[in-house]
Amino acid sequence: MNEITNKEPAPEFSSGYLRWLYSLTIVTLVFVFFIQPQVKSSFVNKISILTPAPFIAFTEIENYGIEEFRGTQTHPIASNKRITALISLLIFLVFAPTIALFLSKKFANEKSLEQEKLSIVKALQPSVFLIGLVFVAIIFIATVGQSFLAPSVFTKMKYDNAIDQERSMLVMDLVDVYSQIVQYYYQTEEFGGEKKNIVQRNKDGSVQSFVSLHVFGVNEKREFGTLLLERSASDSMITVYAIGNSVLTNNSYKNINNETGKIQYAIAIRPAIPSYTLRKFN
Amino acid sequence: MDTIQKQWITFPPDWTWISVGFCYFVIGHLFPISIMNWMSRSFSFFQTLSSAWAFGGLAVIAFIIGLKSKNIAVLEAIIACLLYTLVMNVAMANMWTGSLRLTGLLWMIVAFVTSTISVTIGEIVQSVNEKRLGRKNSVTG
Repeated sequence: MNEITNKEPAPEFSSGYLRWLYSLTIVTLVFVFFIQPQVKSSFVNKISILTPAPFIAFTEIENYGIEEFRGTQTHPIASNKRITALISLLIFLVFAPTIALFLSKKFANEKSLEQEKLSIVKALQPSVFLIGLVFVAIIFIATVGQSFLAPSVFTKMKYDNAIDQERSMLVMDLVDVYSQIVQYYYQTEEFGGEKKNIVQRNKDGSVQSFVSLHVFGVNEKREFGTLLLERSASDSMITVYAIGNSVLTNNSYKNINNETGKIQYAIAIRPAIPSYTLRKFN
Repeated sequence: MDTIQKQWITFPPDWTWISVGFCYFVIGHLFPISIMNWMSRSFSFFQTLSSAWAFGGLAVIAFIIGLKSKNIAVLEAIIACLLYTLVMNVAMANMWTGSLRLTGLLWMIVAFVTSTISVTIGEIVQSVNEKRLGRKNSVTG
């Protein structure tokens, strides 16, 4: 005898797969919106370079006065956060339960008991989606709320973008100069001696000529700024300053040239203790 | 003879596929783009790749939704894509530019068109495959 079955079609996704997918999505969102920007900003503020030469221990590019160039927010951040929190609470306590109640009421209206049982299973799927939707809504409200409530954020960020662009170019210039100095300046005396000259080599590696160190650093104009080289009195440290071309603000921050309104980066290159000690006692 | 005609838009939409579609867009579109943007700081090649994936990725994922869904999932893919672009627009506007921009709206329109075309192509490919399999089964059976 043939049995006529009136079963619900099997769901396309297993609950395990859905759980795994939602978890992965939440992890991805957290990574993209919370972890990655923090890693990025930590890179921007301080760049450490592990030197290729064994006699230079460690070098850091330091930013001087960058914070002085940040725009100010006219709207207090605290009030934005308060409103965002209020809206998020409303979503959690009012909107989400309302939708959940609406769904449960809709499914409870089914006539047969069998259908009602099935409807509970069905109702679970939208509720899982609702959790995701609430999460999305929080991001939405928080971001829309902040965008509308703090219009000065746009000005600030636009302003910061210009600074960021110039800053990254200056850092690139500094890294360029740094690599040249590391390569040529800290050479033994046979290649120019007394740390005053650098050596230019032919393609085959033979010495072509000795060139003054000053060609690299002192008042060298580049596309996005000027590079200045400063040597410490004991000759144990070289500081290279990179000063931007654009006047980005009327801020009172003064750079090494006593100019205001221009951003400045500096890199300090120090010889490692062994080579310094050796030179000192010689 | 009864003929079963497929409806391109099924209402109400399948919420499972909308949520799954949204997840696919986040994992398959947003995550690679953010990694590529990060890498583009060192290699400019990734900048080109990420801008290509910004549009191409939407098309590919919508196509996969159309191809893999047992039933017609055109409306579901479109809703998932719009929801995704809306959330990303708003979130990114706040994080990186500070306010909503017109380009974000244009991106949503482009995403709508791209996902509609791609998911439809996916459904067509799926139905062609089903027909081919059906013929094969009838011949062998």
